[in-house]
Amino acid sequence: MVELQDHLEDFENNGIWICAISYDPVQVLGEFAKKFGIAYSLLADVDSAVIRLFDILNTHIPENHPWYGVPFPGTFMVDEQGIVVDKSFYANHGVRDSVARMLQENFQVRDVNRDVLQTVETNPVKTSARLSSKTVRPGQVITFTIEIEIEDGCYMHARSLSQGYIPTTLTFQEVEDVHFGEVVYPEPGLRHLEVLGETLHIYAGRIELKVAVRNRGKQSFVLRAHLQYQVCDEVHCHLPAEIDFELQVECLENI
Amino acid sequence: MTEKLPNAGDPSSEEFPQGPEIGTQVPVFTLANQHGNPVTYQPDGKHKALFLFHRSASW
Repeated sequence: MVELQDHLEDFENNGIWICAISYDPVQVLGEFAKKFGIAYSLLADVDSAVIRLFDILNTHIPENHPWYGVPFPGTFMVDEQGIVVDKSFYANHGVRDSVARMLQENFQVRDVNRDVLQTVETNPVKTSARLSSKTVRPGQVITFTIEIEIEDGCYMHARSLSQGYIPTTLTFQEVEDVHFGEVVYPEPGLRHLEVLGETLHIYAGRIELKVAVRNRGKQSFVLRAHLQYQVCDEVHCHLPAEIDFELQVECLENI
Repeated sequence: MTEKLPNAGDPSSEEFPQGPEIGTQVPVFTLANQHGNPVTYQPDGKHKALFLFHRSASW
């Protein structure tokens, strides 16, 4: 919730109204807002009427328990007509998307993350690594992105391809209490080589590889990623290349 | 809509209600905010919205 406040300007500049809803009474929300400087609406759904209206009442909690009435935690993102365009729900209260990730992935706000953390130029390829947030709280999910710019006239081999070529591959060193989701690779293009009678699956121009990273623990950590690829042009293929990225992620305390 | 990244750690095998589906309309509602003033959500054709449902601000 504090993170939403940190990005309030990004939301307002992009025409997005935000609110947080819970079964807390007004007084509790007032104290929280004052303590953490929350300017957006914190809404008191004391009898869980709206929680029920959205059909997200946490039914795992028995009716006679003090916590009965809380929702399954998560986020709805709606368009200008009130139509749900995306949502993010986790059964576990401790898991949630970082706000920067929501802005980028669900509202396609492109300039949230202004920091490229590491860039490597190895002609004819320029590779940049960045995170949706350099800080993370326990249970939060952030996005790690590799942006690759391939010089005109050159291409890289995609994941699904014929034998004998090095596919573009992104892997991660394991980190305790950190879970890496599946790497999302772009849709490859096709390139037919007349001489060899082969059709290759390739990447060209500017591409992005993305992966969701979930922090389960409370420790800061170093994210180590390994990118392997092979670049070819009309005449020949370069030697396979490997690049290692190392990014520091700071873990903040939960509020 | 852009393709959503796989949610790392999403317990997709566990069934639990997740509210209005993508493509459906969310309900209109009015609740009091932290200042005790009524706030109504109603689509205005101009603003997108984000609703964060959370457990509690006190525990």
